[in-house]
Amino acid sequence: MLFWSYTNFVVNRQNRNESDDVGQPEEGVRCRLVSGVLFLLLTIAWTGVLWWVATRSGQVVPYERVSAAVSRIRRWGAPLVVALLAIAFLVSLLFLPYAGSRAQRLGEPAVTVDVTGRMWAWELSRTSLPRGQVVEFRVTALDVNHGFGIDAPDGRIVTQVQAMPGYTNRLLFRFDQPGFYTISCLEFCVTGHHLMQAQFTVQSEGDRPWLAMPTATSRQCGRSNRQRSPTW
Amino acid sequence: MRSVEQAALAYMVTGFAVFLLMGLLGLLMRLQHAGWIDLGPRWFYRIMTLHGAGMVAGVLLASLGGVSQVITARIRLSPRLLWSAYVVCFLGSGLVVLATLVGGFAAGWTTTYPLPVRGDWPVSATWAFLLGYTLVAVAFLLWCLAVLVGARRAFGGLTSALAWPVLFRRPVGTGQPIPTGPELAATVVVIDGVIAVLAGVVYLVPIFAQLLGLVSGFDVLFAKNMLFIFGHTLVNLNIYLAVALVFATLGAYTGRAFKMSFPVALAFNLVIVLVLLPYFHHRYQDFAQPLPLHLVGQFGSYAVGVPAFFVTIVGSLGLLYGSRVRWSAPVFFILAGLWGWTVGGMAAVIDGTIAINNVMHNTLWVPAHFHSYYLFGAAGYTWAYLFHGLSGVEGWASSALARWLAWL
Repeated sequence: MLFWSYTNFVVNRQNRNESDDVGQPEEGVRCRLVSGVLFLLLTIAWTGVLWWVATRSGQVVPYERVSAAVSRIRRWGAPLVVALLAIAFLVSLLFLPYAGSRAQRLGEPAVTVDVTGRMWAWELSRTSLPRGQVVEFRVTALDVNHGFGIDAPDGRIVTQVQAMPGYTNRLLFRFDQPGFYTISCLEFCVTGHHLMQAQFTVQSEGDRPWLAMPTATSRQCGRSNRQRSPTW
Repeated sequence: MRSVEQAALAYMVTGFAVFLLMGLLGLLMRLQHAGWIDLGPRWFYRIMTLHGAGMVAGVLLASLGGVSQVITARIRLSPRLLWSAYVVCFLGSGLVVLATLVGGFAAGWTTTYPLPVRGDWPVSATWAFLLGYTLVAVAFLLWCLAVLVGARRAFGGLTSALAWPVLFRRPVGTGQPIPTGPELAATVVVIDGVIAVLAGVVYLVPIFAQLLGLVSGFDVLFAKNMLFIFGHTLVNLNIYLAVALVFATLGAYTGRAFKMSFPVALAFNLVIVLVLLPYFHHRYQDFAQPLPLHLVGQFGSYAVGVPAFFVTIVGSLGLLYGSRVRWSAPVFFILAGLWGWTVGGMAAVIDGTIAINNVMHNTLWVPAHFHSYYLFGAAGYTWAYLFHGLSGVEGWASSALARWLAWL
């Protein structure tokens, strides 16, 4: 209960702080940055540890002394690592990508897009979306599993969800950067998998043609959304 | 060809021959990526499917052979059973090769339902591929059951084989054997191995039923869960088999023995449960999956690394430190394995975080993680044991040439 109270407190603070900060980097960017730096530091540290052990492996140290040191490392190191992992686990819960969590952080969706994946094309009910508003993608598939991955105009992946036959997965996202976004299939779906792309536009402020776009009609978008013959 | 040692050598040599061939297929794919050759999508995906399936089968076979040799002194294994499993595995692998290279099956090594039944290859190729998988799984199951029976017999019950007297600090009767590290690792692997194979059966039977026209289809989310309990757990268990080989190899070069103790018993008993949980991280992007299962996946992805690191890796470094080790090719392989297993494991923990996985799932991070983890860890440890077995501590693997080749 205490933890959930804390979570709600932090999330509410985030809501207040982020409601107007359209220029802030998205969670995906922050996640990648943290992951990359953490991974690099840990890899360097681990390589150093192994090098240190290897250079001392030619010496003679009584195994009793080494065993005692190993025991100390286990006794103190394991609880420390468990505690760090527990903290990381709890903090990460604030950034869950699921619809309920994102609705709490970003607000309720203002626009809905129906997405259907099939071998090897995407169908979207809208191809023009507003900047700075929460969009809900309702994603499903007709034949096999596909991965609905969204790449920003600069090529970074910003979020994703699986498109699954028989299920509709709700993906909430707020696009802060205007431009052309590319949808790539991120779940292997055989021969034409690498060609299964589509695009949509996030309009800049003041330019809101999306208000006039149809909401119920399913249509394919753009040249890259056509079903293409998988020939290399 | 009647001894366990001969069967074990056949497992390892065949496994690494397959490993080498599958590596060449991997090279073909990278040449395609570089634009040096043009395989076309159909051949590329057929090769990709065979590469993944063959690598797992090859390294698993080699590890099973190595572990058989290490544990057979007390957990008696029947050479006849080992050869039977070898033949079954060989037939299964042959069917997979035929299905991909001749039949055109290209659903990826994970064969995620409903892909196997929706591809544009003949249905006979699907049958061949899935029957091939079934036979390889049967071979693994045979090995697991043989070790399970042997361990019970050797230690007077399953709990003793799992070192429970050490874990619960019960008085050990005189003459009652306590399992060594490799024996305990093997027993843990076979318990989870049986569970993984059962999940594989639950995954495959409905597909066979659909191929026979008995059902029109089944739930994709359920199928994906069963598939990854089977596939993820099987691959994960391979590393624990290889860990048994680390204990056996490193001891020979350092003159130190990996002792059974409370932390070791606790770690491996925890692994029995923990190794079954991380597979959920494959399903993080299936938003329809209930949230608690996602959280179990993240918990499992974090937790399973702790006993592995603090017992196996720290313990192995303890064997090395100040041991005046005989530097030879197997020791280099193990050192590289300790590096790659840990680095790949850290990458797994990071990607096992749900929030991060949302921008990393099915990106290059994933193959980078499992290639370093599997190639350095599972394959590297087994390779070290094979070198050790063929050369011995004082043999050619200690030569300067072998050491340089190991570095390369």
